[in-house]
Amino acid sequence: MELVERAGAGDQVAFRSLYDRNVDRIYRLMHRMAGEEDLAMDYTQEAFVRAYQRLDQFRGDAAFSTWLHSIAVSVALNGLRKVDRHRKRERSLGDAGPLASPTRRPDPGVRERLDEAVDGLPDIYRVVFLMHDLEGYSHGEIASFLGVAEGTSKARLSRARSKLRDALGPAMKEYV
Amino acid sequence: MTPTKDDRPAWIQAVEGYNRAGAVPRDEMWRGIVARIAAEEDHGEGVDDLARARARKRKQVSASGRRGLGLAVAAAAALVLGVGVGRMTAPTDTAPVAASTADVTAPRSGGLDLATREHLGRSGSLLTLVRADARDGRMDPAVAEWADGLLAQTRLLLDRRDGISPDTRELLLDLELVLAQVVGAAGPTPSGTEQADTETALTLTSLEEGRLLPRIEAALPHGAAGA
Repeated sequence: MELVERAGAGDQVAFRSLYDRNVDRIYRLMHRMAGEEDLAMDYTQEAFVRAYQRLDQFRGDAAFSTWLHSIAVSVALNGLRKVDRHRKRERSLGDAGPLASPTRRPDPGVRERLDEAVDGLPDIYRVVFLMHDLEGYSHGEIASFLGVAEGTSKARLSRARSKLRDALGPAMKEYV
Repeated sequence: MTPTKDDRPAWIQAVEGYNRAGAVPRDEMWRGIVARIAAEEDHGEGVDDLARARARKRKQVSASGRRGLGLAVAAAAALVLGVGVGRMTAPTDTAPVAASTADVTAPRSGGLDLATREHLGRSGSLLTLVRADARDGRMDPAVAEWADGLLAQTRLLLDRRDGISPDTRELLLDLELVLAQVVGAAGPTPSGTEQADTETALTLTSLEEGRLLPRIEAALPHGAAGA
């Protein structure tokens, strides 16, 4: 809390210290969510900028890291919605003409199918899956970041896993 | 932290590489954060150096039309905060060097003590070279180390609590910024790239708009500056 107060009072070294303590986890999560370095950097920076601008609103009820994560996740989810809309527009333009290939894509390997299945999860499930199963956050942390009950986090993870298993279909046999 | 690696089903472990990040670009992102904050015109009670960054930004925006100005402003903002942090976090065990160099009993010229005069003279020599190169759109990498040494000395002089008039302090602050820009422009960025060109142009802008060399010349006894 002392660092936050100092940063809020204009102490640049304190703000840099807060940055150093949190940036690795935030960036890794942003990268998991965005899948692109540029977007991950953009969301990470935006999260810290917003946090800096709202330091006076931080009351210390939760850890600074928790508060910062909630900002970052919100930034990423909003940003990805915009990116997704843009990509969908691009895809629809690309598919509109006669260039759509008549040939079938080769059947992807299991890893690729897994990746595609994760990509295809609705955001509310995907983010919980990424945070819990890939980045190691606890359900308590995830619940704090997302502003939901811990049970909701657990339910969403269960749902995400279930959807992934369904998407893998027969390929699941390789893992049982 | 990573929980339950052993508890996770094998198929989840197989997706471990999904969107996994590489090395964290800490410094690059930090520069971007500082630039964004500085670019916010209406942020609240900013820290001193961010406030200075904002003032610099406005000053440089007035010189619109220069190539790559947007990037230059961002770079300047990042640089100014870096300057501030650099001074705040500079090792203090070197401070006595400046104190010993500054002979407080030396005859003064224009309100400057010997150490400050010598320092400004050396800085003037460097900046004369830099200005000539920058006008040709290049920056000699060899000056980076030279500028870095002068930058450290500038900070030590600025940290002194006595013997510096407000005018001299202002001159040293502007010198500090330009030297930091020289270090960046002559540093590891490959020459000929857009970033290197922008940094060189920015350095020249600060040097000329701030009339740094004429001010150094004016502060020194005749013939003492390298300009």
